[in-house]
Amino acid sequence: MNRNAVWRKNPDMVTRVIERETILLPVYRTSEEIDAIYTLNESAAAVWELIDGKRTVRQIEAAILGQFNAITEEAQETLDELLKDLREIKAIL
Amino acid sequence: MAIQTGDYHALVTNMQAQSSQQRLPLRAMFELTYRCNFACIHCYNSASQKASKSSEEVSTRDACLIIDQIRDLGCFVLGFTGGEVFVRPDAMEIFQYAKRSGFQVIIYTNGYYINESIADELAALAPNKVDISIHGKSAQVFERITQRPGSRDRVFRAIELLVERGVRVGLKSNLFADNADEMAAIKQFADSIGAFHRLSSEFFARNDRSPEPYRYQLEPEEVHRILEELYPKQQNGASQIVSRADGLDDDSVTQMPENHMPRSAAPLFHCGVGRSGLVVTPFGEVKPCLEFDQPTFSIKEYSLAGCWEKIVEFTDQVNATEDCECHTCELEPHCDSCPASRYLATGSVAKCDPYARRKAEFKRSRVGARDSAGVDRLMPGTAFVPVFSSVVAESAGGCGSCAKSCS
Repeated sequence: MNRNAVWRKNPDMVTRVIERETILLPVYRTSEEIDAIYTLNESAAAVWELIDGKRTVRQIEAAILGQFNAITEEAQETLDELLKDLREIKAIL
Repeated sequence: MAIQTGDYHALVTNMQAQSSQQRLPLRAMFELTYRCNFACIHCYNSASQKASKSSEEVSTRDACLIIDQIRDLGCFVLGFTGGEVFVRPDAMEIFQYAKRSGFQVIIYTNGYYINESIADELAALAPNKVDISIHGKSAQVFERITQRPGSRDRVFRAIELLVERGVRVGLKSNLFADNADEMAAIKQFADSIGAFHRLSSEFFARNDRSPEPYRYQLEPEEVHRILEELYPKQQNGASQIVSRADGLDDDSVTQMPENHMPRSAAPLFHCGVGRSGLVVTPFGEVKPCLEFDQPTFSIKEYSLAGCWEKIVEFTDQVNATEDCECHTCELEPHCDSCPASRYLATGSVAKCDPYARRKAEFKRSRVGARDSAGVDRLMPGTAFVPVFSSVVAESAGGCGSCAKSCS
């Protein structure tokens, strides 16, 4: 994963935080995908907050390390996996 | 994995439980207009509501500002109803705004105005459901109820256009003496297009308490007989109908739900009113539920959050009333009356609704007539045929305050 990459949120993915659940809702999908909603766990929600089209992956990682007191290697792996997932569901561009 | 594809039903159910506990409206219904091009004989909207002018209704901009406030309150499921929503030329713009705001959108319409162009726009919008009323299969029966010549063919064409485009359609019918013979054909039609079909045998007085719609209410025995024919018991004994709390099942007799309290101890509003659902009127007011507009509060005056607080206060105040006849009624375990139906029928939330009583008496007489799942499946009320399981939670009732089929 390129640590200097910058990701931005897909404007067609709406975020809602309801009852402590962070939910990603794709809009304008085909009928079969109407029920495609995604929930983020706490750390994923924190990363999602930080994705703004300006911060690099490295900067997001540093912020998360501070926030969650995680071990660097583990955090890197988790972040990479998350970004991959977010790309797969077209939540980030 | 940090991201989970939501089990939609579980997520909504869980949020519903939490919001109800914290008294936050997870579901809202926005009545965009009371104007309608149909004149359905059983409609619960009053003549004066239907005669209201478009100039009295919230503007597009105000509707969007209200949607913002509904969102800020933590609402997730937003239904739009009328009147007929498409008499407003800005209806689609409002739906799109709601969708973009992250709501699960349900549109209640009579379908008359849905032509190819609107169907295309709805397909692009991909609402969770477009819910259309069909009260007859033949033009003769359909139009006797809608009082609009030519409406049957227009509505069925609209359904066809939506289904062709993959828009998820729900159909709902009210059971009349007049259309009972066509209900099997309606159900067959719904099955043939893979649509969710909801059947209700309950009628409500109009919002001004005009009792006209009660003229069409069938007696519980008759409803039971018709439903028995319509939903024959499957060979494996499994229930073909998803039962809901408003009358199909009577679990309260032997199997108390966890949150069920005897009426003697339960609050009068034991539904979602003031707890998990709210309704916004075309005039920018908040009212307790679709059926019940006493009291209403102006959003301009109090803000939506302020109106919600007032609805919560109101329900608490009513709940503190101790003289409800239900508290000492022996039929209570079988009765599904609610404050709104009691108010509409009697003028008081605390007095017995005569039809609910007859229904409860009938239910009591049926104790023991259950299927292998322990459910008497054919009680008068609202029948749910599960086609899209994930839509079931979103299809009950209108405002989501209860499972009644009023929208």
